[in-house]
Amino acid sequence: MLTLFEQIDKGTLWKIPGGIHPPECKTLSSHSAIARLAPADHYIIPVPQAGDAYSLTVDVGQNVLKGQALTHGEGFRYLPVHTPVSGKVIAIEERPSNHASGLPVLSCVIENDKQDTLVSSIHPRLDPSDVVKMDNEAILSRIQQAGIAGLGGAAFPTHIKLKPVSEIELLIINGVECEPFITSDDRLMQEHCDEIVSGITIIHQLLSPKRIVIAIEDNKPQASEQMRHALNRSTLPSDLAKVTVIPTLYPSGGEKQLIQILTGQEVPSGSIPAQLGILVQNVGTAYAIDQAVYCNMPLIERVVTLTGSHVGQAGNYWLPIGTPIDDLLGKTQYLGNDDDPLIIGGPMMGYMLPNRHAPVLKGTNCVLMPTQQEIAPERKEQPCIRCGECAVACPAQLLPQQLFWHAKAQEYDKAAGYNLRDCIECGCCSYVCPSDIPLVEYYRVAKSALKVEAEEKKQAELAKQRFDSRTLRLEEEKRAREEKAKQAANKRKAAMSNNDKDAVAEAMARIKAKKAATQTENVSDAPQDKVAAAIARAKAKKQTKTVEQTENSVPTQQEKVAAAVARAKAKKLAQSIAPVKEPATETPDPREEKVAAAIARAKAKKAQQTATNEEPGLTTQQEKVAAAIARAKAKKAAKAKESRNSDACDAAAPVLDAQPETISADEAKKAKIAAAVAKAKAKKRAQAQSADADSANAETSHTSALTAHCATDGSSADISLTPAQQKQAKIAAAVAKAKAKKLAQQSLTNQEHAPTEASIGPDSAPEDGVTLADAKSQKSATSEADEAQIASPAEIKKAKIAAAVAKAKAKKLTQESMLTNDQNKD
Amino acid sequence: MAFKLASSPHLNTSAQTKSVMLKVMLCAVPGVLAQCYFFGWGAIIQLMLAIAVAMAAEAAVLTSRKRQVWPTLSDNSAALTGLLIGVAVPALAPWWITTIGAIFAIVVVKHLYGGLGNNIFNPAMSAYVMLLISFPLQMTTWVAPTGAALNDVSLLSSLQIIFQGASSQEILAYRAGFDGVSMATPLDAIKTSLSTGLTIDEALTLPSFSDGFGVGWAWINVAYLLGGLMMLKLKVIRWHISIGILGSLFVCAGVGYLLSPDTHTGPLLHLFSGATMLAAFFIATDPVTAATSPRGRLIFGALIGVLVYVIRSFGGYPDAFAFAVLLANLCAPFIDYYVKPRAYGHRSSH
Repeated sequence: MLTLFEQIDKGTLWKIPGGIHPPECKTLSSHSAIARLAPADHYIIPVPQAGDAYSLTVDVGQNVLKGQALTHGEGFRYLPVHTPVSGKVIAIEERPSNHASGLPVLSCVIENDKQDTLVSSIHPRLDPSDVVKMDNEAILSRIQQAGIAGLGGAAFPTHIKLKPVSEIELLIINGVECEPFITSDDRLMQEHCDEIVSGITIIHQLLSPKRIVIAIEDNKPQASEQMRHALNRSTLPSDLAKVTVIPTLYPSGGEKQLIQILTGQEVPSGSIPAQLGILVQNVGTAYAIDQAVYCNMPLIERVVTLTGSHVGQAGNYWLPIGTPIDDLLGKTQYLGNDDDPLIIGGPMMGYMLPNRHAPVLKGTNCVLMPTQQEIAPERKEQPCIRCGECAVACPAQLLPQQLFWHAKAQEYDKAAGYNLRDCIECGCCSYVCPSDIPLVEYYRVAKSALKVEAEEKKQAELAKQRFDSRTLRLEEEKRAREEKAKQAANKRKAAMSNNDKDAVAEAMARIKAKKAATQTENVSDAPQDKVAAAIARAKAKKQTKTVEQTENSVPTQQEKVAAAVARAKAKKLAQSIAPVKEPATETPDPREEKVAAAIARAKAKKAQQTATNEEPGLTTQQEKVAAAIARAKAKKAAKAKESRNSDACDAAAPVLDAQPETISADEAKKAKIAAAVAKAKAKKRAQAQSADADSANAETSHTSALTAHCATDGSSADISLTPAQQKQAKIAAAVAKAKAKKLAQQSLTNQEHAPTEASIGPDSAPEDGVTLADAKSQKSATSEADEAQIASPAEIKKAKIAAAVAKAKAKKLTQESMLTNDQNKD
Repeated sequence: MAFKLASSPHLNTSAQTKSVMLKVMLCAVPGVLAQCYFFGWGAIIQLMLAIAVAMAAEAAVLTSRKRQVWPTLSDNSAALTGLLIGVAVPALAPWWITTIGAIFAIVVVKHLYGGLGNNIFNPAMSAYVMLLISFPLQMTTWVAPTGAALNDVSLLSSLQIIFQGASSQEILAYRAGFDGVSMATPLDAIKTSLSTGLTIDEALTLPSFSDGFGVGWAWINVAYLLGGLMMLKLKVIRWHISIGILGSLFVCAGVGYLLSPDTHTGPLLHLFSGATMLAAFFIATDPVTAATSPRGRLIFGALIGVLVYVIRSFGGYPDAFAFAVLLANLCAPFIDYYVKPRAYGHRSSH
């Protein structure tokens, strides 16, 4: 940038490609000073030039003062419009617009009271020192509230341009005015150079650019002279700002072209000069900024060149914005007819006005009233001879001819490929075309077609996005539904498997009962102590039930249940396991315990298989009762884990309760230890439950272990139950019931004392190896479950392996016990 | 408000197709006059005939295509085509040669492709090539290019020869020079000489080169060069194509001459003999069939120059502009596609 500044200081100019030298015709209007016309009776202020979001602040019939804002709006892009005269709002309606289309727009019509009463906010000119003290926000606010739009013709809100995102290093003040006929900037520079420079100073204060270049074409020597003087008079440093005279060439005044001429740089396609650190402002805009900041004067009038040979008093005029064009014609001795064309702007880029009632706008710099000789006669378009003059003339270095072919063939995408959007519509190509092809018109059509296409594409893209997101959403919903369904299914499955377990237990119980029923008839005598042990176990089970189940369960039922259990167990004990007791007692190793558990599991499996077949066979009361017990137990076991601490303790209770009946004096200690261990484990389990969500699996395995434990009892009963001792068992059951009740009360009142009480249970049956083994197996089942619950996957695996081994052993044991059973029978 | 709304710009240059064509024709006047001087009345008769036939053919085709006749006819493009055919055929060629050529150019080459602006090939050159291939004898018998010929063959006898045909003896008589030697064009003479084993230096001693360059032809080329410079001055044409042709021809001929002066014609002889200047300024610059961008036109011209040199030196025809121009016409869309100028604000053209 530094070398560039050096070159700017040196006055280096670059050449733009193309360009033309149309007849200037500026002398028609450039010789007289800017004048004023007699005020019009009505002024038409189109409202949409205010910007997007606005609301009208006046109503029909309301009196307004000169300079009063007609709109109110929010937002940075908002630009107010003001009434140029004092008077009355006589209509707010659609009026023909000053546009090539002439389409009606909402406008305020002000009736001029010719008093020119200023609105109070406009004040006498401030001292420059006051302005220097203003902060940027205040200045920008004044510029915005003054409704200043670029006066070069584009009418872009100036305050937006003056708040660039990037730093501005070079400020270019555009006084080129390259269009033929127009002299408004020329006259303004000659007559109001000091105000313009004052406006430039304000922009300098806002943006502090490193250089300011006022560019003027060499066909306006007086204007450049005046501007130089004004610069010298100003407070701007002399090495900062300068007037640069550039050669006359249309379209040097185009923003991009002017930048190229002064800096040699090109504004990248599709971006704005600010990207290069350059800002271009029109001289008229600089004047308006001065007025707004120094006097708070809104933009309500501008210099307009009225020219062409059809106007008697060609010249420049201060015209209030909103002045109807037809009003001008009467006051400047219009010589033409109604059907003679009026051109708004210059002959190169201006448009023909379709309706003469349209008003002067902020961007209206010229009204050209030409004779037929002054503008191109209407000629028929001839075939393109590909002479290429258009390409030579094009300042944007496009290939207008190719653009034309594609635009004419409506191959707009191909035209876009030839950089159609970089066309600035300067009209050079049309100007030089020997075939009189209205090239620019073709490009405009192509551009708007592309715009429409892009808009449609955008809409289609939006629609696609909407569709995609909808599809995605639906898919997600579907997935969520499936997930939910899966979860529900899993839950159901889990519930089902629980039920299965229940069913298994039920079935096993049924089988037990059946077998027991049949066996009672066959087997008659068995040792009493065994029966007692069985009773004890039954009691324990019964107690568990009473502890955890509802209090209002019917006592007789309980009795029956207990009796049945006790019976079953007693039979089992009496008959089958007696021969096995010796090894069991002698080898109380953990393996043995596991084996016992495994047996149970194996049996459970077997029972499951037979369960469905057996069901119809249930006949006796006992069977039903047994089944009920089993169900209750299974349910309880399943529930136990999910319950509170106390439940966990209760779950441990069977172990505790089971032991007292079976232990002898020397085994009492062992039992105690076991009980203590069980209790500890129960506590631990409870903790684990509340702490650990992962334990869900473990719980399940624990549950199964408990079920297995139940099965162990049941199955051992079904093997060993001697029918002959049914009566004894009943008696024992009664005893056991009583004990169980007592125990239940105790365990409820004081759980901690439970082991002690259990250990000193008065009716402790004589020691029996089998019962001990039983107890151990119970314990092992529990401990196994405990292990499973707190186990890591590895441990679970280990446990599974052990279980498998145990299963094998269990089978063997079953066979042996069957054998012994047979032997006993024999 | 009943006036018609025109789109901007509302200004236009006075330059129009018809004025462009007219200027081209006017700039061709010096060359045409030189041809008349050296080849007699026959040249101007052929010119008039070709223009008349071309315009008539244009009118006929326009009528049959149900187009407005006068607006198109008045664009002078048909007249220019006729002019170029007229100056390209030998001065005393039979009338039907010119007529066939002009009709072929307008009807087949121009209008069958869609009329002005849509033809791929240069109409005049296509017609010339067609005639050259179809009627080689008539197309290569040039009268001796001498100012005396103007006196020898009166206007009446020229008309008689062209329209009624002439006995072979008469033609022979007219084709003979002062010394009774049949006159070929200089390039023809060189080609024939080279093929008979003579060197360039020896060939240049032939009567055709009595003024060192080839009698008459050099002056004709100078006249066309003058016309070409006028066109450049009037901005009727841009310099790119012409300079491309002349530059590349000069370079190629120069290299060839430096490598083998005995068997290759010197660059100046290349530039100032045959149809070089006519083609470089009046034929190849036909915008319709040329490349459009300045750079593309330079390439287009250079391609013609190279082709001309190659065909002149190594091909079967003594002059080659018609072929070279047609071949370059074929390449023009290709050149245009790949040679696009970098548009404002774009870093590179692709």
